[in-house]
Amino acid sequence: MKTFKTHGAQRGIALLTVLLFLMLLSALAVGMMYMSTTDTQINANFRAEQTAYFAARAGLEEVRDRMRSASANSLNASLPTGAPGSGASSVLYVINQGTDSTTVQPWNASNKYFDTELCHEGTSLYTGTVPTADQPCTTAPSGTWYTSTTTALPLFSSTSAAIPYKWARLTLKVNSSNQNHYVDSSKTASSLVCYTGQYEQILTASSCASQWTASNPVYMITALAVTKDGGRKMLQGEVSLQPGGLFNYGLFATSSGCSAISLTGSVSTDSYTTAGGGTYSSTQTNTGGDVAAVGNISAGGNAASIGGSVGSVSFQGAAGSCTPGNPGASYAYTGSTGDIVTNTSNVVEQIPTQSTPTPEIPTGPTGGANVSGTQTLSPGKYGDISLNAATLTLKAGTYYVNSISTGGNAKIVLQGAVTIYLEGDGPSSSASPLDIEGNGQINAAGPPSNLLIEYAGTNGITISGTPTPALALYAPNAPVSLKGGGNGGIYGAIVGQTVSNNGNVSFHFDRNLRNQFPDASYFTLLGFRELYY
Amino acid sequence: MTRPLSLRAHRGFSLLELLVAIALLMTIMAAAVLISTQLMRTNNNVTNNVDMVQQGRQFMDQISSDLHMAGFPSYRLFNESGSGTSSSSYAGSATTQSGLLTATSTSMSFEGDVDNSGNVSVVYLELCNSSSTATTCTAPSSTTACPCTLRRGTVYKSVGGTPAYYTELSGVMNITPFIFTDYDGNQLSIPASPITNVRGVRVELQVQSTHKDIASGNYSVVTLDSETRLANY
Repeated sequence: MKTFKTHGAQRGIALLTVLLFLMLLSALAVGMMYMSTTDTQINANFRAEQTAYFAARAGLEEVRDRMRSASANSLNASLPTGAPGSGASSVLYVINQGTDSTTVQPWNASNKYFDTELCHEGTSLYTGTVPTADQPCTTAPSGTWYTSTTTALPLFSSTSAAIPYKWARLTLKVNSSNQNHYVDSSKTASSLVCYTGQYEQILTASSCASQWTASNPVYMITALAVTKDGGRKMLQGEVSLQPGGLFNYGLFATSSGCSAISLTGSVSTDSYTTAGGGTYSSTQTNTGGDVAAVGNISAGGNAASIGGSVGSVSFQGAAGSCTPGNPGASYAYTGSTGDIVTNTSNVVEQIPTQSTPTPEIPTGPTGGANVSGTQTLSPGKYGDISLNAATLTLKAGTYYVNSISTGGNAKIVLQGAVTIYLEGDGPSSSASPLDIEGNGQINAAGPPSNLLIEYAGTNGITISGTPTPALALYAPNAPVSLKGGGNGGIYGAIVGQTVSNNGNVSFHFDRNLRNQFPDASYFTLLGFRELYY
Repeated sequence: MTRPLSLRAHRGFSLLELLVAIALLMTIMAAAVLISTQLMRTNNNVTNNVDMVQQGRQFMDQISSDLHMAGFPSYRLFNESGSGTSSSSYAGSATTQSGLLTATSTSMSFEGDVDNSGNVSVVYLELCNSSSTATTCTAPSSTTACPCTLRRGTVYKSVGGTPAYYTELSGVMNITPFIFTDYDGNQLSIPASPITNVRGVRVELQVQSTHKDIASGNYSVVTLDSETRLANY
């Protein structure tokens, strides 16, 4: 027995020694692994946060893109029209479920992805005391207050590789949407907000477009992203359409040659504004009737009086004669300087390059029926509209028309804002797409912004001042000929390839057109922030 | 028969056997001590590096989220003629929406409501050479003036003046950590002018450990890199 004990003890020492060494080495190895894991984790946290940031950004950008009417899967028809709390369509959620096992329900306070920001946005959905901006919301509004739709991101949208943004919310902005930064702290917190192209303002008129300075609604997009490894970011952006910049000047010519604008008769320009319901008689001024061109402006002759500034993109600093290939001496006048009405704003200046987007390219005749007698039309496609002693009433909307010609006592009456795309009779035809003459009345009662006419072709356009048309004509490729011959004048703004006159034209620029007709091609991001709490 | 065998087993080790055993044990022990010393050194270095990376990453995180908030809220988010539109209530100006004020290769400053507190802060970041003190900061002219320190200071725009600075990162070895890029991501020359051209900020740092690597006797250096696109412009 003793023998066996001794034997066993000796073998035990060897086992213990081996075990001891093994433990020592294991501990060191585990320690090393732990250290390198910490190192990896620091980077993993950073990566998760970055992934969440860009995922939330992706959600925000998806909504910003889909707000456009021209976008695929457009949300344009379901854009909110009232402040949050004014019905189910006032809050729109875009849900990106992916393969997340938790159903994404930002409207449900017990959901993992609850919208913890909405209570901070000054809406009537929350009454009483709400958490401060650094504390998440804990309760959901009651009643029917939201609608939801699903993401349209093309890649991986319903797979585990889906971009991990969970939802994006679209609402209109109100004065107190950012409770720390009111748009105007002296105004009602729940007022809607518009954007003029330079700054935001409180909506006081019936719509942003009819504000004193015409503007567009401001929308808020809020997006939440949560990654699988715990990164979480909530981002918020404010977006709005920009003014299209179609009509920065009363008369503008896109030609870079000599006499792009030729005002050589008894021509006069002045300005007024229809902003805030203004009329010509109440707001007329002998300034602001600005005339500009890419190339040369020739004014003079028999007492041209320009009540505004004269500017050219290629102006070189001195007035003089225009020579071929050098329109830079851009403001040539053949009369004496006394021909120009002298006032402080009447200066010859260089203007920045103007953006002149191309209107819809004519694709040929519209195939619609011709129109000639007294009648009321609904938006749609029509052939040639020729009026003589007839009254044509147009309902609000968009029209595609081959050509319009008026004579005699023809009238065009508008029942709202009308946009007319002149298609012309096809590229091979030389017929004028627009010829307004006679003694009729074209939109005589309404503001020029109610009648936007766009034409992409190159055939000549004639407008006579006698029927006192009020219109905004955008035809950057067509020569425009203005005719005078009586009282009244032409109201609105005109963009042509060249603009010339046959004398006796009095032109009245509606300055409010500068901010109207937003560029609907994209929503500008006005402000952007991360939300922390 | 069994007794002699058993006696023989109880006879003990011979001197030679003992010597061989001790020599073997010594060799193994020596190897183990060597390895464990090496491991501890490595552990020490790795800990230092982890600290360094941690601090650097934290700084990168901070600057990245600061820059995302730069320029918010901008001038255009306020009613032009409304109340509360004094210049201290918005970041930047009517013409500079990004909020970026100065941009050089060793310093930058920008405005924004970086903490969502409702107050617009002015954030200053500066690289100071090794002879700078708590109150003075001189930008390094060459790498020999480093290790340099990066310090950050904020002050409310409505208050203005010199901010209180805090050291964010020490041991910075490169002297041009700030790089500014334009809309297309191209690097802009310094000083970036006009500053409205700046759309992105790249920060590149070479950070040196505060402790020497015991094994090599050198200071180890890690390189950190981050790029942030300005969200407001």
